Amino acid sequence: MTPLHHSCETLYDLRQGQQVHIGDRPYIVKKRAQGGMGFILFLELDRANAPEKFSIHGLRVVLKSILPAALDDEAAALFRRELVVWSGLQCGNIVGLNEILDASRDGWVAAMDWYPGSLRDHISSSGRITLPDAIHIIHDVLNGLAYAYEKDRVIHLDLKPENILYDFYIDRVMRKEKVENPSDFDIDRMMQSVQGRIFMVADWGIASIKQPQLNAIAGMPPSHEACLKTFNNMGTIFYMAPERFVSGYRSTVASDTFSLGMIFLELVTGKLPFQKNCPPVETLLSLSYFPKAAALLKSVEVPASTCRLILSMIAPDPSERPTSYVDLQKSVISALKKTGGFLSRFF
Amino acid sequence: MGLFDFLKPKKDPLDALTENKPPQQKKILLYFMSEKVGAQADNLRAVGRVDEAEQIITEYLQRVFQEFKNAPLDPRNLSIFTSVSLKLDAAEAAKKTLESLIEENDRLFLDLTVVYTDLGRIYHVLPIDPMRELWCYEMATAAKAPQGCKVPATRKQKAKAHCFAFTKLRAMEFTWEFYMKQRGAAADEIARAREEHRTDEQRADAHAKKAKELVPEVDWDDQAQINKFMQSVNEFGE
Repeated sequence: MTPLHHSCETLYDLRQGQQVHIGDRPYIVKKRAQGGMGFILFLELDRANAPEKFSIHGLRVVLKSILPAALDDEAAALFRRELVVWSGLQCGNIVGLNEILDASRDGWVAAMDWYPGSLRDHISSSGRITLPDAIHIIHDVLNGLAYAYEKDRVIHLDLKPENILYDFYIDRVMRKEKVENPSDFDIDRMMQSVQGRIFMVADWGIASIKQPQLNAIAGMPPSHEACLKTFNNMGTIFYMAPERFVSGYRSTVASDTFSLGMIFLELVTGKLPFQKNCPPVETLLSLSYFPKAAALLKSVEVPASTCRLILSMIAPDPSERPTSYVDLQKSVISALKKTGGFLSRFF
Repeated sequence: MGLFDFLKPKKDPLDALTENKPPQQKKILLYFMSEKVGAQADNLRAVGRVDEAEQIITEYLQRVFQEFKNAPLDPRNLSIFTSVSLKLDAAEAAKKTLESLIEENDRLFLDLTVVYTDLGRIYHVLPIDPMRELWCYEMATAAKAPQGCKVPATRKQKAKAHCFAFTKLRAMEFTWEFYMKQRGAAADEIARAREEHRTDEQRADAHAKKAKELVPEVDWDDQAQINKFMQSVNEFGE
């Protein structure tokens, strides 16, 4: 474990421009963000003073920890639980946990790479996305989810565009386009395109662990029952499956399928099936989102088979949704082949 | 390749990383991957997933050892294995592997210079009689390429083994004298012991002399040059 050093009372007190050391590598705080329980520091390596040696921490690092006020309560236990899940996941489509740092006075501190942006940024800047591009994104996310489920029986439960980060992955395109000389390749164009990016799942903060052994290691926060309830209705409402608002319901893969379906819908239509004058929870619980989603899909040019796929993913009844990632992947591939998009060249 | 193989998550990031890479680049990537594997194992230990931490280290070491199996004629691949094992605190596993390889060498036809040197490096970190470590370096200096050996040891690799043997002998000399003085041994007792160890001194000098002969381009009176030489004879270089 690499030690973390800084000159402030707590990590939380660090402000923009201040220095923090990960081992002997000096980093400058570039920006910070805060949530209800935790906070994030975005760091950039102070190259002029950095030693010239290999490190798993790159030029840009993100530190994630919990608020000092939350150190002793359930938030700490939840964060530890997140680290238990995250530490076992090593997959190209999951944001990697580089290291849990040795920062005794700051509690748990996780270090990960600082990626260029999230799917939310991409949607904000590009609006509606073409169907092949949307499928490319869904395919990447599915890969990450399938890996986590296959390996540790972990369900994410907080899928939303903010929790899907991307990195540039020009290599993949160059290989597939058989470009040998990089100067022949329009890298700027490719960096702006979806195909030049790899999408990764982040934030396993409220993930559900279905593997008993791992669940025992992860432990439960002090009030176990409260936590179960919390997990059920925690998350971002727009992407939460209706059954998760039902007390005592135990989430399954179908809950993640729903969230992914909502993201898929948003990508291809540019909209979500909610109205400003109606609270989203009500829309979800009354199931009125479903006809609205169907109408949204009708308004755009999407093949009928893809429409059916999206609607099956957001079906009100969890048993009607695809409950296996493998089946879902097959359906996505099938939809992809019909679009003739970039990834269809793989087949 | 199956239709959906492309979609299957890559369970082994090492495979993804080293896929279609030239052998030298692959070795370097594998070596540097040890940092990542070490960090992941630390993460898993920190959160209580101890068994998995051991498992990923074992899987990684198996993967690195596979490189040697793929090209069993080049003992430098074993040096990578030794280095990453030491880095990941898996010296005991590396010891067993190298010892069994030495036993099987009548079938492998390896020049054991590098293998014994690596075994000495492993003994160095284990609670083993220092004489065993010295024995390894001396075996390395004495090793000869068997008939059928495709990659005989270079003069620099031999010199490195001599240098290790010299250093170990000197360290042992310092150690016995230090402990004798510490327990308050009389001057004549120390002088007698020194006489008994005269042969060790001679052995050390002989190793130093041999190293100088093998690599005359290094100034053996300049510690910085010696250090540079020792670092340059590694798993990637000569």
